[in-house]
Amino acid sequence: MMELLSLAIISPLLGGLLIFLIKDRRFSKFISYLSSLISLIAFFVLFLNFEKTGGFQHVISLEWIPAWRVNIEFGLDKFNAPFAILTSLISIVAIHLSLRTAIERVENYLSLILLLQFTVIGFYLSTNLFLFFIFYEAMLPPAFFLIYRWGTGDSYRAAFKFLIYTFAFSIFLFIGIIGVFMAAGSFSFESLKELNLSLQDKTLLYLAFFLAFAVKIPIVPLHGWLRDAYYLSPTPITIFMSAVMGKMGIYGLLRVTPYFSDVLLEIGWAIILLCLISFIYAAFLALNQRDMKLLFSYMSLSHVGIITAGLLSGTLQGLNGSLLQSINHGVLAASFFYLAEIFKRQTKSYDMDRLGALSKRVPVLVFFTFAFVMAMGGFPGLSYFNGEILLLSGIFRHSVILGFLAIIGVAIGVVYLCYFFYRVFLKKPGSDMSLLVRDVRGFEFVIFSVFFIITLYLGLNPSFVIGQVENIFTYYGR
Amino acid sequence: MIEFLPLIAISVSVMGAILIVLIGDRNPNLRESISVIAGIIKFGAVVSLVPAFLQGKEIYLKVATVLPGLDLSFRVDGLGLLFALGASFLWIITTFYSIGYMRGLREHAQTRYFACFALSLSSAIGISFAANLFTMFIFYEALTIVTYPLVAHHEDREGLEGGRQYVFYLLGTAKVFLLSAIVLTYVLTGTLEFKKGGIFTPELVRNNTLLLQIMLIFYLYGFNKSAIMPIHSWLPAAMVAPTPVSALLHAVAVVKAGVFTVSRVLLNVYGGDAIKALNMQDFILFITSFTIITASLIAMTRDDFKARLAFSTVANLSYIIIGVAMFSPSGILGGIVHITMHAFSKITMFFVAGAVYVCAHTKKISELDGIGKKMPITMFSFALATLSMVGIPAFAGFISKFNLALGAIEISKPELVGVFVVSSFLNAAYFIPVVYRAFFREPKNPLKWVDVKENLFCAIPLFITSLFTVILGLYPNLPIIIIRSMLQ
Repeated sequence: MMELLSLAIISPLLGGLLIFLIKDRRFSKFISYLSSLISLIAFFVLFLNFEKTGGFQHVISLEWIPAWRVNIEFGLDKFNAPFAILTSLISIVAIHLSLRTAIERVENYLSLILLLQFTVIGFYLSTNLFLFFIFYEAMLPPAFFLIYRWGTGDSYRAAFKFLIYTFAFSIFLFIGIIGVFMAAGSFSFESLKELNLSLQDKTLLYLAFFLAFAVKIPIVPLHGWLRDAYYLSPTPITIFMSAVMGKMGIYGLLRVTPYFSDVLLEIGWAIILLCLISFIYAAFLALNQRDMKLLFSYMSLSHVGIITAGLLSGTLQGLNGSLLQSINHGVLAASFFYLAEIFKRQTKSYDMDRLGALSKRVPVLVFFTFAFVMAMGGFPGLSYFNGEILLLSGIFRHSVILGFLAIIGVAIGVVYLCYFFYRVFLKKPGSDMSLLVRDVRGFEFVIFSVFFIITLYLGLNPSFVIGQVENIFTYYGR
Repeated sequence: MIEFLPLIAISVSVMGAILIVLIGDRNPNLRESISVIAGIIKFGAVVSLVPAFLQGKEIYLKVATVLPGLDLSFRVDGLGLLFALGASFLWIITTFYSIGYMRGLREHAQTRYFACFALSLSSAIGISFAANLFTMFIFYEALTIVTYPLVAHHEDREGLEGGRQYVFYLLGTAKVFLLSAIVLTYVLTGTLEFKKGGIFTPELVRNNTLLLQIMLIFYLYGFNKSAIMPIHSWLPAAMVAPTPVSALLHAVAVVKAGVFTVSRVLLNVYGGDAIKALNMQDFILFITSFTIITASLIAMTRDDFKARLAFSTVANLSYIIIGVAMFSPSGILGGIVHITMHAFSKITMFFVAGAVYVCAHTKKISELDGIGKKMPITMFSFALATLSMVGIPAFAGFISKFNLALGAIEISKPELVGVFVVSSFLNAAYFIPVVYRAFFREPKNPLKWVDVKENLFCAIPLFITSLFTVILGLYPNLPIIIIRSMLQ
């Protein structure tokens, strides 16, 4: 199994390097699909063969810096395995979508995407804070170049903002990691258990972690980079950012938060309130958009707010809910951005008001969009609802008032989603732009079907991701 | 084997819908016969549950456990069985009526119409057999979604506007009120399973009084298909739908699903003891009485045939909730039996409104002078239904109103009897003029109804339903036995 895990991690890197060295157009397409697919299959096999309880499994370990007791060490556990699968899946989708759109110098582009995939997977799978931090930073250069070089409009500004925000706030992550090392004498995640600190110091330490990850997620008011970075990037990169890279912040919090439950008892309500304000504020922003891609960007911003709020509620429900919802959100956000790109490709515009009355022309597209709108709107029985009920239970358990606040955000979410569906598919009369839209078929049909099946399956069996959570009604802190 | 029957009853019309879509407009006769066959199988499946239920067998099926305490499961009990019986039986009749109506008016998108109709029946049956709030919520939301194309069927400005209001109110209340109430129930009790006498323990009620009161209000307005005032305006707005839709969905399936779900919450989530301990009984009785009287008064002012029926429906839905909220044997009996009794009377009336529109192309009550001579079966059936709605003995409506009044006396609240009497007078005041105009007035223009003749596809189904108002009035035993065995 160790070999399989090494293969899963290393294959995107190898693929990226190969493409970079050979620089052949057709070859690079083949290699990029192949290396992502190998990684996906390997992770899937590993996922089916491991226990969703307990610590890291299938660990690969190479000695690195003995003086600091730092090894190059990767392993799978309940929290990072779903993210690893998600990353490989989304990479394939992003690569396919990139190849559908005309892109210049596609070899460089593909090798950067694969490099990005490698760093993100490395981030998710590292078992110590040192490696975790290195991959957190290593992800920035490929992302920066992808946005800058292949983005539209003022893409330099977008890429630079993204870089500055993440880079500047990663100093807090650095401080946090140094703090942990000084207090516990080790970089491993287990050492977080044995922090010998006063509550005040622990609070400061936690705030450092929170600030670093809140930029990555992002949480309002640290979302300044999001609009340009999401909107001006090529859509495959937007998909990757919103489905996978935003989740890096959530994953980071998932890793550290359980060890800081005493801090959450003190200041938890304030951070949750901040996250919920972010949730509702972004929902209002989404309500105003007539541009599809911006709508989905703000929708993404909105939903990560409640995912983080549930995570910080200090309950097992919230914790598992945020894990589950991150995966659900990854899948659905990817499908929505993909939809936006389909419209853009055919009508050369993201403008929703120039569409309409599509419902009879493109039945397959309508079906998938409807299914995704329903799922994202929290239709019971589909994947998103399970995450939603866990997150809301967690927040309600923390505080009933905050729970009602969260419900308001959820309701606005349904409004803008339904409004989107109405404007694009039902509103009459449709504009002549509608005539340009054609139905999905071929490989895109397969991608949407896979997303749809995941949505259905996780709707009935969320324990596939979160495992059997027996005693779901306990606080982990108290 | 028998525990799979609810699942069969639910899935048969989903299959039917798929077949209907596959056949499409190529072969309308085959398409409609699939509707009928699916309806008959569904009704058969529901009926064959009755003997087992009366023998006291436990019929329970768990399909999946989604999260701890959150199952997808079905259970058959008296309340659900009665609702399912009525809905599945009336679906068959409505299908025949729909054929006459839709072909008579040459409506567009008939495939979508019949497919959505079949799906909405699946949702209604799913609601009736749901064993917990989660399963019920799935089908409740599904019902809203699949009925949207039916409400907005005409796809004109009016239709889309009606559909918009319909979806906005129903989805919005379900998200804001219902979701929070359900999540809070889950948080407080760790389960969503229905239980006789409620799932909130007395201790829980004592410790969380305010929260549980708020949650009860959320449940009442979250299951907004019950159209309790003041959040009722989607129902008249949804009357832009074709008449068979208004008939089945807004007299039988959708609105009854609303009151059914509210009754479930009152009986099996809260339970009488908890409601009384929370001091909420008077509140429910008050808002429902208010709805009954106000909606009846509004109905009197409406000249549009379907609008008048719509407000009458709003009033009658509250009858059911008021009965259940009495928590006395006769009250609950009267309330629940009104689901069936009102269904047969009101569907007849909607059928009549539709038949008049198909044959005489008028929607206004004030223009109906003298139409009874041209459409005798139709207007005679309307007269029967009117008598039932008013609550004349030997008609279906009497059974429920009598038991409701008994219930009011059992809990010593005679003022409720006053509400029932006043509302019965109001019922008479807004329905009898229709009968009077149809039979005893001459049209101003003697040639007005010359070309009008009865459409038998419409007239026969509505005559059958009107006969049932008499049959159920004379032999109300089956529903009463079912409810009694549930209450024991």
